[in-house]
Amino acid sequence: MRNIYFQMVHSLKCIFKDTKPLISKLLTFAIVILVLGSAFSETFEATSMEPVRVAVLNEDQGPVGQMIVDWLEGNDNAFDAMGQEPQTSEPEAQTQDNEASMWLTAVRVDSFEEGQKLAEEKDDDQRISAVIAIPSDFSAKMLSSEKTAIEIHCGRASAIEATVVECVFDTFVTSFNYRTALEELGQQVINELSTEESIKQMDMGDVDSPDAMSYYAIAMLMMTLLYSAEYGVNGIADDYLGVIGERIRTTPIKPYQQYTGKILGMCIASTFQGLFIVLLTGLAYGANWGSNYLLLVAIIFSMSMVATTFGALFCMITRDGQKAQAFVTVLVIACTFLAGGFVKIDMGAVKFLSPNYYAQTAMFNSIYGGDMSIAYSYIGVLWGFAIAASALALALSRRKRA
Amino acid sequence: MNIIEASRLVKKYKNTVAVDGIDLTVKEGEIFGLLGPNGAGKSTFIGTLVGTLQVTEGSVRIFDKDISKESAAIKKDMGYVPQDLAFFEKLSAYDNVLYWGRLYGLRGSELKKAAQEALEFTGLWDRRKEQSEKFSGGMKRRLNIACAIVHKPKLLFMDEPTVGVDPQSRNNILDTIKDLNRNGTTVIYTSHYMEEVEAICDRVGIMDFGKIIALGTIDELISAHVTDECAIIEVEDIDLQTIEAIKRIEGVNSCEREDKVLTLHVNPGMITMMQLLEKLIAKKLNIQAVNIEKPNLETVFLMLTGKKLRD
Repeated sequence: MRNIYFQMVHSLKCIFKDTKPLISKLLTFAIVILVLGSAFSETFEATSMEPVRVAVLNEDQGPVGQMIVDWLEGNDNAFDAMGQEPQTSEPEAQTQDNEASMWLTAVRVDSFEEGQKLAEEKDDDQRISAVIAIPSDFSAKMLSSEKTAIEIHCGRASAIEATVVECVFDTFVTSFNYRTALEELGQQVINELSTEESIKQMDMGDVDSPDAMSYYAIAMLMMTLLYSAEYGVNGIADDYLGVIGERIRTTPIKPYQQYTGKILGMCIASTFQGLFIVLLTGLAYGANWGSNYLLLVAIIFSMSMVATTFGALFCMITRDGQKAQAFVTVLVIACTFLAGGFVKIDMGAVKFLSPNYYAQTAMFNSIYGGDMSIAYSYIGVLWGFAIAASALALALSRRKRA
Repeated sequence: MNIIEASRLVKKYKNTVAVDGIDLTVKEGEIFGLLGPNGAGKSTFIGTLVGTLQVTEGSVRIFDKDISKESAAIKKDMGYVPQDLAFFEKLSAYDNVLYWGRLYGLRGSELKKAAQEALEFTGLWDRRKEQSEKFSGGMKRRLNIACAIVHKPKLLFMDEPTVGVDPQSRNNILDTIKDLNRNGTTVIYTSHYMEEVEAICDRVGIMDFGKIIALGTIDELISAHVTDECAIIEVEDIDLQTIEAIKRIEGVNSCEREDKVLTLHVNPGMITMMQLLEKLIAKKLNIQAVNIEKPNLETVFLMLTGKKLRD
């Protein structure tokens, strides 16, 4: 343990004694974050969504079908009409908008074919995204507690539009069931219940997603950390493959002690650099780093470990510091790109090849209230990468002496 | 007591045989010199002894222990000065020596004391806080040695430690090696500088093509391999007839002319240098200067391999 510890301290000392490249690296990334964050700030601003146009085919002659149509058309008092004859001529009720109309624009149709025709409309303003069909026996079955269903046809809708339609109807069903249950219990309906409480248009920019500066602060932090692979390359090239390494092998220290100490030292140095980026971008640029600092440090450390072990592995594979260095440069850029570090795009399944993706997803989930189980499992994936790279590097190191 | 026993040692790289069946023993307290031209296999041989290279065939015992089985125990008492500078240039001399001391298991006040002694021994104590990157070539070489002797090894391998060093620094380093030896360290010293080996080594092995082609003290090697004496004579106005006449003198093995300089190799058993000079004067040679060359390791090497050490 003492040998590992002193190798670690020595490794840290070597890195921090060489201040020029360190300062240059950190300042470069600080400037890149500022430039990207400023340049793409508009791209990251939250925009309001236009309501989704849907066709409504009401074949039901009863009150429930009419109630749904009223509700879709924006009548906030639609539920009050339940059990009464259909009323379409109540001007006040008709004009009082509900939240469904914020998300959906209902267009009445008389047949399914008419709805299909509207779905194929070339004019964007006229085209509908889904057809909502209420069957003819809907009210009868509802009132006799039989099973029935509203049909929603979303064939030409985008994923987002389909989700909106689905959510709006989920809300309707929840509200309806809640109201029915209360009435069966003989209680007064609580008027506060409305779709307004159930469906809210959240300002994604404030709460749920990062602004450009915060996004690029995280993406570039990952890039900075992945550049620590250079430490792995240099550490192994100098202290293992080079003359110093040859000399070290004439001493009693064991290779695993030397490797572990070196990697830990380089990893801690990289973590400190990451924390410097966090501090700088947090204070100077107002980047959001959340409040879970322990997890933040854990993610940075895990990513540093991946980077340094990868660097060590490349050096062991190529047996040439310069070749490994060139490989790292390409890898850093490729991994950052795949993870959407330069331009925020989803690269599909290829993104899973990039360790940056796991680290930055874990960080986004931690900061912006995402799924924490994903965050923890991705940290696990990073350690999996690091352990695999270390094992392979140590196995390859045995070739050297042959 | 034998400190090193190498037996039928072979080191191969694919089809190249770098060390070809070497048998060698080195006694405790010796300064053993390994002499040979570049590419003779000296560094590879040293690599197999210090454990950085795996032996293809044969065995190595150091301190009466098998290096393939007890390398950790052997390495604790062994020091190695590589041919290239092998320390951290961004660190100070003191930090470097501390680092190498720790690798050999020294800690605390014992380490600090040992580091001070190593730096004082190599004359770098006053410059200990300076970044070693800024040192002169000679100082870097001395630091290279300091890092190897911090733990006071019983056996020190020095692989051409004076390459690229000015004569003053070289003498300084050679004095350091003699001092180390006086303090009880056995030294294995490789070089292709004959003068260095002659100056410090008790015994010498001459290597070529991966083999030790001659082994013994310097006097033993000379007497065993050098039969000729060499005279270099500067003359005025000499013609081919006279040169041919000199070649016919009994005991003269060869006579070569380059401008005004004659190089004569003679058999001392048949003719002394005085007799030779008398005969040359009798032939009315206008002699300007005479230099009788004492046979040395260079001569031995030339006799054995037909080439000069620095070819």
